[in-house]
Amino acid sequence: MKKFKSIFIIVILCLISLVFLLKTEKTNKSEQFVRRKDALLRLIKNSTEIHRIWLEGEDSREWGLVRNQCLKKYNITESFDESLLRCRPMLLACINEFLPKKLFNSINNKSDAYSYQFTLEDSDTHEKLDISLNNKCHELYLEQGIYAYGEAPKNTNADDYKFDIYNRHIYFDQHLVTNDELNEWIKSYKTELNTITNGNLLFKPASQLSLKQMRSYCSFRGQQLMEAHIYDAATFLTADKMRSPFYWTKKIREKNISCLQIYTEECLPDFKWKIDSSSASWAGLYNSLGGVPEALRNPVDPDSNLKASSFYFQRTSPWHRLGFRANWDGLGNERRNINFRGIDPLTYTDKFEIGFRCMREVYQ
Amino acid sequence: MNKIYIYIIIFFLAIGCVKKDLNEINYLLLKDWIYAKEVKTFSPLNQILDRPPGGEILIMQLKFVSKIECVYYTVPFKSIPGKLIIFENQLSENCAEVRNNNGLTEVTDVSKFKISFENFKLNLSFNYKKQQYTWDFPFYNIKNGFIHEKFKSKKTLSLLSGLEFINTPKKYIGRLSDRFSLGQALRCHHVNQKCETIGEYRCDECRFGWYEIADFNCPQGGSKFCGQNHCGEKNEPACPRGYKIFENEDTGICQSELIPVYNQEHILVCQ
Repeated sequence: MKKFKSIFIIVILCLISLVFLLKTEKTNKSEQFVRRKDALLRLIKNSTEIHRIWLEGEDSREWGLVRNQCLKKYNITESFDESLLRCRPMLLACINEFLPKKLFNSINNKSDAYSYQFTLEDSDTHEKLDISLNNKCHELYLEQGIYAYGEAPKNTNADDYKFDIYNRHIYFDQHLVTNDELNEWIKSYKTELNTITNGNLLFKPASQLSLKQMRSYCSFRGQQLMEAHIYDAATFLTADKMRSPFYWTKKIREKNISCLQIYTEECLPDFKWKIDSSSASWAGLYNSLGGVPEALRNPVDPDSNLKASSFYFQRTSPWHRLGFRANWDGLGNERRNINFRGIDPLTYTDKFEIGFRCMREVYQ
Repeated sequence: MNKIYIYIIIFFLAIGCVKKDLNEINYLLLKDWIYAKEVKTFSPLNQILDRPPGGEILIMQLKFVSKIECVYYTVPFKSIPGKLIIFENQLSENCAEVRNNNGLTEVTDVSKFKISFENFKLNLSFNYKKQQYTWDFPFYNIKNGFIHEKFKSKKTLSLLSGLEFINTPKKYIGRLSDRFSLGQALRCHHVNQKCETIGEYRCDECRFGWYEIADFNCPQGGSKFCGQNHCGEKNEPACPRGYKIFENEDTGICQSELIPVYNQEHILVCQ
């Protein structure tokens, strides 16, 4: 009986210590979950910070701190419109690299048509959070309404082509597609293009693509190549029959046109042309006249698919009119690929830069 | 005598191990719920739930990409303890008012349970073993539509427009080469002649964008197809010319040498 008692006491003691151990383990485990929850909350907070920098872009305090190092890293020596850095991974990557506090751990290659994906990891707990940031902050909404396609009719009795976009939500890119944006497409897809652009060319328009490649790029972004009638809607000040050929005035004729309004051949010695936000149409579309020629898809008249107004023409050229377009075969950038309808550039140019932009529709 | 030992061991082990810790539950719920795409609440908000005493009520339904989670609460009464019960459903099944499944997660001894849901943030407050707890859950993935404003980019009505958390890769449909004229294009939104939507709207899943076609001139627009837009070209749909019909004009845009003709499905096609 005595032996039984001692065994019983030993068993009870063992169980008590077991329970104590389990309880301690449980408390540790519980504390571990508190730590992991706190880490997750920190990651959520960090993601909102990343989102803020993403939208503020060049206006963010963080960009000011890393700007010089970042431009040096990418060999960018010329000035460019730094608002192009908004919603672009380059700015975040630089901030992540050059500021002591890491914002995120990696940019996922699996970024999709509408967003970029980042992985955030807490250094203490290794808790992870994948976030996606919308990449469409350079597009603008085209107000619903009745619009006109093409140039103003020559006489008041002539037909005027009208259309409306009521109950449709159309968004267009404010600026031309840049080489920086194109690089992502080249890296993500097996295209015949395999040259990654660097340095000062990064924020210049992607201008050596065929029409097919331009359309494929826009598709990669979940968009369509800009359509001529939507372009006209976003650039003509009014849709009436006496619409102005210029995006900034209702006047039919304009004498003193500046290089900031239309960047023509005469402007080349003064300053280099760049994508910028100084020449917006009423709807906010940049560079609708001057700069580089721009390819469009024209569902009404496929032969009028190139905005020829550019620095290849002098200020007096008739090309500097909205709605008046040349024909590009879309296959190459040489002189023989473009039909300028007899209004050719005065200076011989071997290769033309041809830019493009995209648009899309959103369903509510 | 051996039996007694076994019972004692089981008893102590049960105390030590079985129940999920409350902090663990809070962490797991936070990790899971931040991906919710939709939250519906069924019980009164901002007040302690005390009715029906002893009864179980559905308080919330959370919808995710591939599942639905149902949250029930048993209102404590006399010997019936308050219980918070959460379980998963298939995406196609909404939560039943009366629970028909065992809980995935259960918290017993809950009382003074209160729920508030405001500005895409959920707050659960309750007493557990006479101690008060408050759990907060932000929902960044819930989208309540879009705001379209001129001169602005698209804004989503959500906690932070443009920010989402991802736990499953997005699935896409459509190929770049799909063409309407070749019968390959996927219809991602089907509108019939009564202007009713047939099936699900799936255009957000189109990998290479989508385009609308002109068919029944419905106020909300026509059917939509995934892929590259070739509207206006031969054997491709006409581009919609507008909802407000222009007198003596076609309702679709085709290239100048083509004319818009309705096909068998009443889609305006350029021929």
